[in-house]
Amino acid sequence: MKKIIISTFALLLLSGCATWSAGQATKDGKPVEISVSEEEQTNPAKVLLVEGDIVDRKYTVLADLEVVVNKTTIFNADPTPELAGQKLKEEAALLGADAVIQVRYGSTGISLMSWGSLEAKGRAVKFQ
Amino acid sequence: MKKNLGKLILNTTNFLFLFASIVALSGCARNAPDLPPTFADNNQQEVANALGITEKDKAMSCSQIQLEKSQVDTDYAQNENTIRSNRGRNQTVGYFSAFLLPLVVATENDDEAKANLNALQIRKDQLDHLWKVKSCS
Repeated sequence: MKKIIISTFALLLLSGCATWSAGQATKDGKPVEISVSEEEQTNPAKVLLVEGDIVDRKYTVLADLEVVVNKTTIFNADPTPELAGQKLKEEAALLGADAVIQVRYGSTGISLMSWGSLEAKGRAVKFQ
Repeated sequence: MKKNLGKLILNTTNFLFLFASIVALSGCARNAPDLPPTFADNNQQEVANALGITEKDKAMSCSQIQLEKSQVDTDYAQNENTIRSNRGRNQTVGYFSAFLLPLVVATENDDEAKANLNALQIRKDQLDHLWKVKSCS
């Protein structure tokens, strides 16, 4: 009985965190360190998310981003492209990026880490 | 003693089966396609070669590129819908397979739709590159 109560409590507790995520930034295959100060970091809400390329503005490439959003338990809702996009924006903002271009998503499905995983990739850029 | 040993073997078999199932099912999530080469850091010819753009592609007009882009977007959405519609079924099977493991074989892996999406993404990148090189708007 005690075990059931503890398990139920743990499940409810974990269900509160619907998703968890991880991200990495690389350039030319090497990890990119966050070298900008907090003032230089951008507001994630202001980072543009573009599925193709930006053709009307010049930019400098900061890093290639890769994020994975996982649902915490089998009972949580699947991660959406919007959630993965938000994570891309957060990672880009840490690098001081203005936009994430070439954004692309995988398909939600079971992975070794979760019953529902969604991967997204994009390129963090800063306008010149 | 024999009974306990039997239980242990059964538990180990269940665990191995569960593990093998999860490993087999790990293909269910499709990774995001790789990013194309960085246009800013390479010359046009290098990028075109890396993207597999043919001479025939290079001869396309802006309106032809636009038309194909629309078609690719439509096909992309259709394949995404195929995967999304099977996701509900896979989840239900996932719930019940916790009690009845053999049910995991009933999951739909959508290999064809996933392969289509990957191919369409490559074409999207090619068309985006052509769009930029030709300064289409």
